[in-house]
Amino acid sequence: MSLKIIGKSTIFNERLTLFNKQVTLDFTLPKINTFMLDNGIIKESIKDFRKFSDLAKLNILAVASSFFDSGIASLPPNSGIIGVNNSGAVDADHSYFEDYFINGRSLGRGNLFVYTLPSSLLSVVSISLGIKGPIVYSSKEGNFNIVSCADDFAGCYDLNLIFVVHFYDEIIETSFFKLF
Amino acid sequence: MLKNQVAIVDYDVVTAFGYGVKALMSNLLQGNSAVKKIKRFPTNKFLSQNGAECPGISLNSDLTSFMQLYSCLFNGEKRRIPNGSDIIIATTTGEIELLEQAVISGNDNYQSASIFNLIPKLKDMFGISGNAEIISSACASSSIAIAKASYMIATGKSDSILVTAADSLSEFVFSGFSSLMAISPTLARPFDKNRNGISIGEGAGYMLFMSKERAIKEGRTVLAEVLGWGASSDAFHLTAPDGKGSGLITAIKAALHKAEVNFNDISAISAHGTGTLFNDAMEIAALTSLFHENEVKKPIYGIKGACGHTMGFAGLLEAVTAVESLQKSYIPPTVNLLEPEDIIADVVSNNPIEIESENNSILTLNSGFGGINSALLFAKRTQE
Repeated sequence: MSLKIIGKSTIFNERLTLFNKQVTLDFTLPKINTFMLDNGIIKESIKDFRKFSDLAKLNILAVASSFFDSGIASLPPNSGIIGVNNSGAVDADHSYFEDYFINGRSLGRGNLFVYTLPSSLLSVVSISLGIKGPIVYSSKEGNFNIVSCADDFAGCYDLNLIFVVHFYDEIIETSFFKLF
Repeated sequence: MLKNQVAIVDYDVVTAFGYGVKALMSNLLQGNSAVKKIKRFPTNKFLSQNGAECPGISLNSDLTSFMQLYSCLFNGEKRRIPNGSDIIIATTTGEIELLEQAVISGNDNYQSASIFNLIPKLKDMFGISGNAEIISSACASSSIAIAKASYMIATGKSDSILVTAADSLSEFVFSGFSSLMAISPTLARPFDKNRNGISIGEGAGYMLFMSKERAIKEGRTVLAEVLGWGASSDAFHLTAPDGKGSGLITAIKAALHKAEVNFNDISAISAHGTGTLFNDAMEIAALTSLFHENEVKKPIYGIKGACGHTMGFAGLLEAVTAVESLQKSYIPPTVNLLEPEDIIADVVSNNPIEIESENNSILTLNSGFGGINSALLFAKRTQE
Protein backbone atom coordinates (compact mmCIF):
# COMPACT_ATOMS: atom_id res chain seq x y z
CA MET A 1 0.00 0.00 0.00
CA SER A 2 1.23 3.49 -0.73
CA LEU A 3 0.22 7.05 -0.05
CA LYS A 4 -0.46 9.47 -2.86
CA ILE A 5 -1.32 13.14 -2.85
CA ILE A 6 -4.81 13.46 -4.30
CA GLY A 7 -5.38 17.14 -3.56
CA LYS A 8 -3.20 20.10 -2.79
CA SER A 9 -3.60 23.79 -2.05
CA THR A 10 -1.31 26.66 -1.24
CA ILE A 11 -2.31 29.97 0.25
CA PHE A 12 -0.11 33.03 0.17
CA ASN A 13 -1.08 36.69 0.35
CA GLU A 14 -4.84 36.14 -0.16
CA ARG A 15 -4.18 33.96 -3.19
CA LEU A 16 -5.23 30.31 -3.36
CA THR A 17 -3.70 27.83 -5.78
CA LEU A 18 -5.25 24.44 -6.45
CA PHE A 19 -2.89 21.94 -8.02
CA ASN A 20 -5.13 19.35 -9.70
CA LYS A 21 -7.55 21.96 -10.91
CA GLN A 22 -4.62 24.17 -11.97
CA VAL A 23 -6.29 27.39 -10.94
CA THR A 24 -5.25 30.38 -8.87
CA LEU A 25 -7.96 32.36 -7.17
CA ASP A 26 -7.74 35.65 -5.28
CA PHE A 27 -9.80 36.20 -2.15
CA THR A 28 -10.08 38.69 0.66
CA LEU A 29 -9.77 37.68 4.29
CA PRO A 30 -13.10 39.17 5.45
CA LYS A 31 -14.99 37.23 2.77
CA ILE A 32 -13.42 33.77 2.93
CA ASN A 33 -16.68 32.03 3.81
CA THR A 34 -18.46 33.57 0.81
CA PHE A 35 -15.43 32.83 -1.36
CA MET A 36 -15.53 29.14 -0.40
CA LEU A 37 -19.28 28.91 -1.05
CA ASP A 38 -19.14 30.80 -4.36
CA ASN A 39 -16.35 28.56 -5.67
CA GLY A 40 -17.90 25.31 -4.49
CA ILE A 41 -15.10 24.64 -2.01
CA ILE A 42 -17.70 24.10 0.71
CA LYS A 43 -21.34 23.22 0.21
CA GLU A 44 -22.75 24.88 3.30
CA SER A 45 -21.79 27.93 5.29
CA ILE A 46 -19.59 27.07 8.29
CA LYS A 47 -21.17 27.68 11.66
CA ASP A 48 -19.63 30.51 13.71
CA PHE A 49 -17.06 31.13 10.99
CA ARG A 50 -16.86 34.86 11.71
CA LYS A 51 -15.82 34.14 15.31
CA PHE A 52 -12.61 32.38 14.31
CA SER A 53 -9.24 34.12 14.13
CA ASP A 54 -7.89 35.11 10.72
CA LEU A 55 -5.30 32.36 10.81
CA ALA A 56 -7.95 29.81 11.77
CA LYS A 57 -10.07 30.93 8.79
CA LEU A 58 -7.08 30.53 6.48
CA ASN A 59 -6.44 27.03 7.82
CA ILE A 60 -10.06 26.08 7.19
CA LEU A 61 -9.74 27.40 3.64
CA ALA A 62 -6.47 25.50 3.18
CA VAL A 63 -7.84 22.12 4.23
CA ALA A 64 -11.25 22.56 2.56
CA SER A 65 -9.50 23.58 -0.68
CA SER A 66 -7.14 20.60 -0.72
CA PHE A 67 -10.15 18.34 -0.23
CA PHE A 68 -12.02 20.20 -3.00
CA ASP A 69 -8.98 19.82 -5.25
CA SER A 70 -9.08 16.03 -4.80
CA GLY A 71 -12.53 15.79 -6.38
CA ILE A 72 -13.72 13.36 -3.68
CA ALA A 73 -17.46 13.80 -3.16
CA SER A 74 -17.60 13.56 0.61
CA LEU A 75 -15.07 13.49 3.39
CA PRO A 76 -15.07 10.42 5.64
CA PRO A 77 -15.09 11.59 9.25
CA ASN A 78 -12.14 9.42 10.28
CA SER A 79 -9.61 11.43 8.28
CA GLY A 80 -6.69 12.80 10.28
CA ILE A 81 -4.95 16.17 10.32
CA ILE A 82 -1.30 16.78 11.06
CA GLY A 83 0.05 20.31 11.22
CA VAL A 84 3.69 21.17 10.87
CA ASN A 85 5.73 24.32 11.35
CA ASN A 86 8.80 25.41 13.24
CA SER A 87 7.29 28.05 15.48
CA GLY A 88 4.44 26.34 17.31
CA ALA A 89 1.84 28.93 18.33
CA VAL A 90 4.31 31.51 19.58
CA ASP A 91 2.69 34.43 17.75
CA ALA A 92 -0.72 33.55 19.17
CA ASP A 93 0.91 33.14 22.58
CA HIS A 94 2.34 36.64 22.24
CA SER A 95 -1.01 38.13 21.21
CA TYR A 96 -2.71 36.60 24.23
CA PHE A 97 -0.10 37.53 26.82
CA GLU A 98 0.52 41.04 25.50
CA ASP A 99 -3.21 41.75 25.63
CA TYR A 100 -3.40 40.31 29.15
CA PHE A 101 -0.40 42.40 30.25
CA ILE A 102 -1.63 45.65 28.69
CA ASN A 103 -5.02 45.20 30.32
CA GLY A 104 -3.70 45.11 33.86
CA ARG A 105 -2.63 41.50 34.25
CA SER A 106 -5.86 40.52 35.92
CA LEU A 107 -7.99 38.83 33.29
CA GLY A 108 -7.01 37.32 29.97
CA ARG A 109 -9.21 37.09 26.93
CA GLY A 110 -10.48 33.56 26.44
CA ASN A 111 -10.91 34.09 22.71
CA LEU A 112 -7.18 34.79 22.40
CA PHE A 113 -6.11 32.09 24.85
CA VAL A 114 -7.85 29.33 22.90
CA TYR A 115 -5.41 29.79 20.02
CA THR A 116 -2.28 29.50 22.16
CA LEU A 117 -1.84 25.78 21.56
CA PRO A 118 -0.09 24.61 18.40
CA SER A 119 -2.97 22.18 17.77
CA SER A 120 -5.77 24.75 18.19
CA LEU A 121 -5.90 25.80 14.53
CA LEU A 122 -6.18 22.15 13.50
CA SER A 123 -9.01 21.66 15.98
CA VAL A 124 -10.88 24.59 14.48
CA VAL A 125 -10.52 22.91 11.08
CA SER A 126 -11.80 19.60 12.44
CA ILE A 127 -14.79 21.30 14.07
CA SER A 128 -15.63 23.31 10.96
CA LEU A 129 -15.30 20.47 8.47
CA GLY A 130 -16.44 17.56 10.66
CA ILE A 131 -13.11 15.73 10.63
CA LYS A 132 -13.08 13.20 13.48
CA GLY A 133 -9.72 11.49 13.13
CA PRO A 134 -6.62 12.27 15.20
CA ILE A 135 -5.13 15.77 15.33
CA VAL A 136 -1.42 16.21 15.87
CA TYR A 137 0.98 19.14 15.69
CA SER A 138 4.52 18.07 14.89
CA SER A 139 7.83 19.82 14.49
CA LYS A 140 11.08 18.18 13.48
CA GLU A 141 14.62 19.32 13.00
CA GLY A 142 16.10 19.29 9.52
CA ASN A 143 14.23 19.29 6.25
CA PHE A 144 10.59 18.43 6.60
CA ASN A 145 9.40 15.47 4.52
CA ILE A 146 5.62 15.55 4.14
CA VAL A 147 5.39 12.06 2.64
CA SER A 148 7.26 10.48 5.53
CA CYS A 149 5.18 12.52 7.97
CA ALA A 150 1.91 11.40 6.34
CA ASP A 151 3.12 7.81 6.14
CA ASP A 152 3.88 7.60 9.87
CA PHE A 153 0.64 9.34 10.77
CA ALA A 154 -1.43 7.01 8.57
CA GLY A 155 0.37 3.95 9.90
CA CYS A 156 0.13 4.99 13.52
CA TYR A 157 -3.64 5.44 13.43
CA ASP A 158 -4.66 3.20 10.51
CA LEU A 159 -5.91 6.16 8.49
CA ASN A 160 -6.76 6.14 4.79
CA LEU A 161 -7.03 9.90 4.36
CA ILE A 162 -4.66 12.45 5.83
CA PHE A 163 -4.30 16.19 5.58
CA VAL A 164 -0.80 17.56 6.13
CA VAL A 165 -0.90 21.30 6.79
CA HIS A 166 2.56 22.83 6.41
CA PHE A 167 3.02 26.45 7.41
CA TYR A 168 6.24 28.15 6.39
CA ASP A 169 7.31 31.63 5.23
CA GLU A 170 3.71 32.91 5.46
CA ILE A 171 2.61 30.10 3.11
CA ILE A 172 0.04 27.47 4.08
CA GLU A 173 0.59 24.39 1.94
CA THR A 174 -1.89 21.57 2.46
CA SER A 175 -1.47 18.13 0.96
CA PHE A 176 -4.34 15.67 1.04
CA PHE A 177 -3.11 12.07 1.00
CA LYS A 178 -4.95 8.87 0.28
CA LEU A 179 -3.72 5.39 1.04
CA PHE A 180 -3.96 3.13 -2.04
CA MET B 1 0.44 -6.39 11.60
CA LEU B 2 2.87 -5.07 14.20
CA LYS B 3 6.38 -6.44 14.03
CA ASN B 4 7.70 -5.80 17.53
CA GLN B 5 6.40 -5.78 21.08
CA VAL B 6 6.76 -2.33 22.65
CA ALA B 7 8.64 -2.53 25.94
CA ILE B 8 8.87 0.18 28.58
CA VAL B 9 12.29 -0.13 30.16
CA ASP B 10 12.78 3.05 32.18
CA TYR B 11 10.95 6.14 33.39
CA ASP B 12 11.20 8.93 35.89
CA VAL B 13 9.22 11.99 36.88
CA VAL B 14 9.29 15.17 38.88
CA THR B 15 5.91 16.26 40.19
CA ALA B 16 4.52 18.58 42.82
CA PHE B 17 5.26 15.76 45.27
CA GLY B 18 8.95 16.22 44.49
CA TYR B 19 11.51 14.24 42.59
CA GLY B 20 10.93 10.65 41.65
CA VAL B 21 8.41 7.91 41.13
CA LYS B 22 8.66 6.80 44.75
CA ALA B 23 7.48 10.18 46.04
CA LEU B 24 4.72 10.23 43.45
CA MET B 25 3.35 6.79 44.19
CA SER B 26 3.60 6.93 47.97
CA ASN B 27 1.69 10.22 48.03
CA LEU B 28 -0.86 9.03 45.49
CA LEU B 29 -1.56 5.81 47.33
CA GLN B 30 -1.89 7.69 50.62
CA GLY B 31 -4.47 9.96 49.01
CA ASN B 32 -2.43 13.15 49.43
CA SER B 33 -2.89 16.26 47.34
CA ALA B 34 -0.05 18.58 46.34
CA VAL B 35 -2.45 21.40 45.47
CA LYS B 36 -1.71 24.44 47.64
CA LYS B 37 -1.63 28.22 47.46
CA ILE B 38 0.57 29.27 44.56
CA LYS B 39 3.73 31.13 45.59
CA ARG B 40 5.43 31.62 42.22
CA PHE B 41 3.40 34.58 40.94
CA PRO B 42 0.61 36.78 42.33
CA THR B 43 -2.81 35.18 42.09
CA ASN B 44 -4.83 37.65 44.17
CA LYS B 45 -6.67 38.98 41.10
CA PHE B 46 -7.94 35.55 40.14
CA LEU B 47 -10.85 33.50 41.38
CA SER B 48 -8.48 30.77 42.51
CA GLN B 49 -5.10 30.97 44.22
CA ASN B 50 -4.34 27.25 44.18
CA GLY B 51 -2.13 25.03 42.08
CA ALA B 52 0.33 22.17 42.35
CA GLU B 53 3.84 23.63 42.18
CA CYS B 54 6.94 21.48 42.11
CA PRO B 55 9.22 22.22 45.06
CA GLY B 56 12.37 24.23 44.41
CA ILE B 57 11.23 25.93 41.19
CA SER B 58 11.69 29.67 41.24
CA LEU B 59 11.31 32.62 38.90
CA ASN B 60 14.56 33.96 40.39
CA SER B 61 16.76 31.59 38.44
CA ASP B 62 18.87 31.70 35.32
CA LEU B 63 16.76 28.83 34.02
CA THR B 64 13.10 28.96 33.11
CA SER B 65 10.74 26.96 35.30
CA PHE B 66 10.46 24.50 32.42
CA MET B 67 14.21 23.87 32.38
CA GLN B 68 14.36 23.82 36.18
CA LEU B 69 11.87 20.95 36.05
CA TYR B 70 14.32 19.08 33.86
CA SER B 71 17.18 19.91 36.23
CA CYS B 72 15.14 18.38 39.05
CA LEU B 73 14.40 15.36 36.88
CA PHE B 74 18.09 14.76 36.31
CA ASN B 75 18.67 15.06 40.05
CA GLY B 76 22.36 15.75 39.55
CA GLU B 77 22.94 12.66 37.42
CA LYS B 78 23.52 12.24 33.73
CA ARG B 79 20.83 9.99 32.31
CA ARG B 80 22.14 6.98 30.44
CA ILE B 81 20.08 6.99 27.30
CA PRO B 82 20.98 4.09 24.99
CA ASN B 83 23.01 4.78 21.87
CA GLY B 84 21.03 5.59 18.77
CA SER B 85 17.85 6.48 20.64
CA ASP B 86 15.43 8.93 19.08
CA ILE B 87 13.57 11.50 21.14
CA ILE B 88 9.99 12.74 21.07
CA ILE B 89 9.26 15.84 23.15
CA ALA B 90 5.71 16.60 24.25
CA THR B 91 4.59 19.93 25.63
CA THR B 92 1.90 22.54 25.24
CA THR B 93 3.73 25.74 26.14
CA GLY B 94 7.42 24.82 26.65
CA GLU B 95 9.50 27.72 27.94
CA ILE B 96 6.57 30.13 27.96
CA GLU B 97 8.31 32.20 30.63
CA LEU B 98 10.68 33.53 27.95
CA LEU B 99 7.65 35.03 26.22
CA GLU B 100 6.23 36.36 29.49
CA GLN B 101 9.54 38.04 30.25
CA ALA B 102 9.76 39.52 26.75
CA VAL B 103 6.28 41.04 27.01
CA ILE B 104 6.78 42.34 30.55
CA SER B 105 10.11 43.96 29.65
CA GLY B 106 8.79 45.40 26.37
CA ASN B 107 11.14 43.24 24.34
CA ASP B 108 10.05 41.95 20.94
CA ASN B 109 12.30 38.92 21.04
CA TYR B 110 9.60 36.47 22.06
CA GLN B 111 10.41 33.93 19.33
CA SER B 112 12.93 32.33 21.71
CA ALA B 113 9.88 30.83 23.44
CA SER B 114 9.02 28.77 20.38
CA ILE B 115 8.74 25.12 21.33
CA PHE B 116 10.93 24.24 18.33
CA ASN B 117 13.90 25.63 20.29
CA LEU B 118 13.49 22.83 22.82
CA ILE B 119 14.89 20.26 20.40
CA PRO B 120 18.60 21.13 20.66
CA LYS B 121 18.34 21.89 24.37
CA LEU B 122 16.72 18.60 25.31
CA LYS B 123 18.81 16.54 22.90
CA ASP B 124 21.86 17.97 24.58
CA MET B 125 20.46 17.44 28.08
CA PHE B 126 19.62 13.79 27.40
CA GLY B 127 22.74 13.22 25.26
CA ILE B 128 20.72 12.07 22.27
CA SER B 129 22.09 12.07 18.75
CA GLY B 130 19.15 10.40 17.01
CA ASN B 131 16.06 11.92 15.40
CA ALA B 132 14.03 14.45 17.33
CA GLU B 133 10.40 15.47 17.08
CA ILE B 134 8.10 17.73 19.05
CA ILE B 135 4.49 16.69 19.40
CA SER B 136 1.76 18.91 20.71
CA SER B 137 -1.87 17.86 20.88
CA ALA B 138 -3.22 19.93 23.75
CA CYS B 139 -3.59 17.98 27.01
CA ALA B 140 -3.20 14.71 25.12
CA SER B 141 0.29 15.74 23.91
CA SER B 142 2.35 13.17 25.76
CA SER B 143 -0.08 10.31 25.23
CA ILE B 144 -0.02 11.10 21.50
CA ALA B 145 3.79 11.12 21.75
CA ILE B 146 3.71 7.70 23.44
CA ALA B 147 1.45 6.43 20.65
CA LYS B 148 3.92 7.68 18.04
CA ALA B 149 6.87 6.09 19.86
CA SER B 150 4.96 2.82 20.19
CA TYR B 151 4.14 2.83 16.49
CA MET B 152 7.78 3.49 15.54
CA ILE B 153 8.98 0.64 17.78
CA ALA B 154 6.19 -1.74 16.81
CA THR B 155 6.90 -1.32 13.10
CA GLY B 156 10.67 -1.56 13.45
CA LYS B 157 11.27 2.04 12.34
CA SER B 158 13.19 2.59 15.57
CA ASP B 159 14.26 0.29 18.36
CA SER B 160 14.74 2.83 21.14
CA ILE B 161 12.80 6.04 21.68
CA LEU B 162 12.79 8.38 24.62
CA VAL B 163 9.52 10.23 25.13
CA THR B 164 9.90 13.22 27.40
CA ALA B 165 7.21 15.66 28.44
CA ALA B 166 6.96 18.74 30.60
CA ASP B 167 4.85 21.79 31.24
CA SER B 168 5.32 24.42 33.93
CA LEU B 169 2.77 26.25 36.04
CA SER B 170 2.97 29.74 34.57
CA GLU B 171 1.08 32.99 34.85
CA PHE B 172 0.34 32.55 31.15
CA VAL B 173 -1.48 29.26 31.60
CA PHE B 174 -3.06 30.18 34.93
CA SER B 175 -4.50 33.44 33.62
CA GLY B 176 -5.68 31.72 30.44
CA PHE B 177 -7.61 28.99 32.19
CA SER B 178 -8.91 31.61 34.63
CA SER B 179 -10.27 33.56 31.66
CA LEU B 180 -12.18 30.46 30.62
CA MET B 181 -13.55 30.10 34.19
CA ALA B 182 -12.08 26.61 34.21
CA ILE B 183 -10.09 26.74 37.47
CA SER B 184 -11.62 25.51 40.70
CA PRO B 185 -11.71 28.20 43.37
CA THR B 186 -10.85 25.42 45.83
CA LEU B 187 -9.55 22.01 44.70
CA ALA B 188 -10.12 19.84 41.66
CA ARG B 189 -12.54 17.05 42.56
CA PRO B 190 -12.64 14.64 39.61
CA PHE B 191 -15.93 12.74 39.32
CA ASP B 192 -17.43 14.44 42.36
CA LYS B 193 -20.97 15.82 42.14
CA ASN B 194 -19.67 19.15 43.40
CA ARG B 195 -16.64 19.45 41.13
CA ASN B 196 -16.06 22.98 39.92
CA GLY B 197 -12.92 23.08 37.84
CA ILE B 198 -9.30 22.12 37.46
CA SER B 199 -6.27 22.68 39.64
CA ILE B 200 -3.28 23.46 37.46
CA GLY B 201 -0.11 21.53 38.12
CA GLU B 202 3.29 21.06 36.55
CA GLY B 203 5.96 18.47 36.12
CA ALA B 204 8.39 16.72 33.82
CA GLY B 205 9.27 13.16 33.05
CA TYR B 206 10.44 10.65 30.55
CA MET B 207 9.67 7.13 29.47
CA LEU B 208 12.08 4.97 27.48
CA PHE B 209 10.59 2.61 24.92
CA MET B 210 12.45 -0.24 23.25
CA SER B 211 11.65 -3.16 21.08
CA LYS B 212 11.33 -6.09 23.42
CA GLU B 213 13.99 -7.85 21.39
CA ARG B 214 16.54 -5.11 22.04
CA ALA B 215 15.52 -4.78 25.69
CA ILE B 216 16.08 -8.49 26.31
CA LYS B 217 19.30 -8.47 24.30
CA GLU B 218 20.63 -5.65 26.49
CA GLY B 219 19.48 -7.36 29.67
CA ARG B 220 16.96 -4.66 30.57
CA THR B 221 13.94 -5.29 32.74
CA VAL B 222 10.71 -4.89 30.83
CA LEU B 223 8.56 -2.90 33.24
CA ALA B 224 5.45 -3.03 31.08
CA GLU B 225 4.35 -3.07 27.47
CA VAL B 226 2.25 -0.78 25.35
CA LEU B 227 -0.40 -2.96 23.78
CA GLY B 228 -2.47 -0.42 21.89
CA TRP B 229 -3.27 3.20 21.21
CA GLY B 230 -5.97 5.27 19.58
CA ALA B 231 -6.89 8.89 19.02
CA SER B 232 -9.80 10.90 17.68
CA SER B 233 -11.37 14.33 17.54
CA ASP B 234 -14.83 15.34 18.68
CA ALA B 235 -15.24 17.89 15.85
CA PHE B 236 -17.59 19.60 18.27
CA HIS B 237 -16.29 22.72 20.05
CA LEU B 238 -12.96 24.36 20.79
CA THR B 239 -13.33 24.43 24.58
CA ALA B 240 -16.13 21.97 25.32
CA PRO B 241 -16.16 18.21 24.73
CA ASP B 242 -18.90 16.31 22.96
CA GLY B 243 -21.18 15.48 25.89
CA LYS B 244 -21.90 11.98 24.59
CA GLY B 245 -18.23 11.06 24.66
CA SER B 246 -18.41 9.55 21.19
CA GLY B 247 -14.91 10.77 20.27
CA LEU B 248 -13.41 9.23 23.38
CA ILE B 249 -15.24 5.96 22.70
CA THR B 250 -13.71 5.93 19.20
CA ALA B 251 -10.22 6.39 20.64
CA ILE B 252 -10.74 3.66 23.25
CA LYS B 253 -12.07 1.19 20.69
CA ALA B 254 -9.15 1.93 18.38
CA ALA B 255 -6.67 1.25 21.21
CA LEU B 256 -8.38 -2.02 22.14
CA HIS B 257 -8.60 -3.07 18.50
CA LYS B 258 -4.90 -2.40 17.99
CA ALA B 259 -4.13 -4.39 21.14
CA GLU B 260 -6.52 -7.20 20.20
CA VAL B 261 -7.87 -6.95 23.74
CA ASN B 262 -11.51 -6.98 24.81
CA PHE B 263 -12.84 -4.23 27.03
CA ASN B 264 -13.81 -6.96 29.52
CA ASP B 265 -10.15 -7.93 29.91
CA ILE B 266 -8.77 -4.60 31.08
CA SER B 267 -8.15 -4.19 34.80
CA ALA B 268 -8.79 -0.48 35.35
CA ILE B 269 -9.14 2.89 33.66
CA SER B 270 -7.02 5.94 34.34
CA ALA B 271 -9.37 8.76 33.38
CA HIS B 272 -8.38 12.22 32.24
CA GLY B 273 -10.56 13.41 35.16
CA THR B 274 -9.85 17.12 35.16
CA GLY B 275 -12.57 18.00 37.63
CA THR B 276 -14.45 20.27 35.24
CA LEU B 277 -18.17 19.76 34.92
CA PHE B 278 -18.04 19.03 31.20
CA ASN B 279 -14.89 16.92 30.86
CA ASP B 280 -15.86 14.53 33.61
CA ALA B 281 -19.45 14.31 32.37
CA MET B 282 -18.13 13.44 28.90
CA GLU B 283 -15.85 10.73 30.30
CA ILE B 284 -18.64 9.34 32.46
CA ALA B 285 -20.90 9.21 29.39
CA ALA B 286 -18.24 7.44 27.32
CA LEU B 287 -17.26 4.93 30.01
CA THR B 288 -20.78 4.09 31.16
CA SER B 289 -21.69 3.54 27.51
CA LEU B 290 -18.83 1.04 27.23
CA PHE B 291 -19.84 -0.58 30.54
CA HIS B 292 -23.34 -1.03 29.18
CA GLU B 293 -22.17 -2.28 25.78
CA ASN B 294 -19.82 -4.84 27.33
CA GLU B 295 -22.02 -5.68 30.31
CA VAL B 296 -19.12 -5.14 32.68
CA LYS B 297 -17.86 -2.34 34.93
CA LYS B 298 -14.24 -1.42 35.49
CA PRO B 299 -12.60 0.63 38.27
CA ILE B 300 -11.90 4.25 37.29
CA TYR B 301 -9.42 6.61 38.90
CA GLY B 302 -8.00 10.04 38.23
CA ILE B 303 -4.89 11.64 39.71
CA LYS B 304 -5.46 15.33 38.94
CA GLY B 305 -6.92 16.04 42.36
CA ALA B 306 -3.54 14.96 43.72
CA CYS B 307 -1.02 16.28 41.15
CA GLY B 308 -3.05 18.99 39.47
CA HIS B 309 -3.59 19.09 35.73
CA THR B 310 -0.10 19.00 34.28
CA MET B 311 -1.22 19.85 30.73
CA GLY B 312 1.04 18.30 28.06
CA PHE B 313 2.81 16.20 30.71
CA ALA B 314 -0.45 14.64 31.96
CA GLY B 315 -0.44 11.67 29.59
CA LEU B 316 3.10 10.63 30.46
CA LEU B 317 2.54 11.15 34.18
CA GLU B 318 -0.58 9.01 34.01
CA ALA B 319 1.27 6.39 31.97
CA VAL B 320 3.96 6.15 34.67
CA THR B 321 1.28 5.95 37.34
CA ALA B 322 -0.51 3.20 35.41
CA VAL B 323 2.66 1.14 35.01
CA GLU B 324 3.48 1.57 38.70
CA SER B 325 -0.09 0.60 39.57
CA LEU B 326 0.30 -2.54 37.49
CA GLN B 327 3.50 -3.35 39.36
CA LYS B 328 1.84 -2.82 42.73
CA SER B 329 -1.54 -4.34 41.77
CA TYR B 330 -3.25 -1.29 43.26
CA ILE B 331 -4.69 1.75 41.54
CA PRO B 332 -4.50 5.04 43.40
CA PRO B 333 -7.46 6.76 45.01
CA THR B 334 -9.27 9.59 43.26
CA VAL B 335 -8.15 12.34 45.60
CA ASN B 336 -10.67 14.97 46.81
CA LEU B 337 -13.58 12.74 45.86
CA LEU B 338 -16.27 13.23 48.51
CA GLU B 339 -19.57 12.59 46.77
CA PRO B 340 -19.14 10.65 43.53
CA GLU B 341 -21.56 10.97 40.64
CA ASP B 342 -24.24 8.32 41.25
CA ILE B 343 -23.79 6.52 37.95
CA ILE B 344 -20.15 5.67 38.68
CA ALA B 345 -20.24 5.66 42.47
CA ASP B 346 -19.45 1.94 42.58
CA VAL B 347 -16.34 2.19 40.41
CA VAL B 348 -14.54 5.29 41.74
CA SER B 349 -13.08 5.55 45.20
CA ASN B 350 -11.06 7.83 47.43
CA ASN B 351 -9.18 4.74 48.57
CA PRO B 352 -6.70 2.59 46.63
CA ILE B 353 -8.34 -0.29 44.78
CA GLU B 354 -6.72 -3.68 44.33
CA ILE B 355 -6.59 -4.82 40.72
CA GLU B 356 -7.97 -8.32 40.69
CA SER B 357 -7.96 -9.15 37.02
CA GLU B 358 -5.59 -11.86 35.88
CA ASN B 359 -4.99 -9.95 32.66
CA ASN B 360 -3.28 -7.04 34.28
CA SER B 361 -3.72 -4.02 32.04
CA ILE B 362 -4.70 -0.37 32.45
CA LEU B 363 -6.29 1.91 29.89
CA THR B 364 -5.22 5.54 30.21
CA LEU B 365 -7.30 8.33 28.71
CA ASN B 366 -6.58 11.94 27.87
CA SER B 367 -8.65 14.63 26.25
CA GLY B 368 -7.84 18.21 25.42
CA PHE B 369 -8.73 21.56 23.98
CA GLY B 370 -10.37 21.29 20.62
CA GLY B 371 -11.88 17.88 21.37
CA ILE B 372 -8.71 15.80 21.03
CA ASN B 373 -9.00 12.33 22.61
CA SER B 374 -6.42 9.64 23.18
CA ALA B 375 -6.32 6.17 24.70
CA LEU B 376 -3.35 3.98 25.57
CA LEU B 377 -3.35 0.42 26.87
CA PHE B 378 -0.50 -0.71 29.14
CA ALA B 379 0.06 -4.24 30.35
CA LYS B 380 2.28 -5.87 32.89
CA ARG B 381 4.21 -8.73 31.42
CA THR B 382 6.28 -11.27 33.25
CA GLN B 383 9.89 -11.43 32.10
CA GLU B 384 10.46 -14.15 29.52
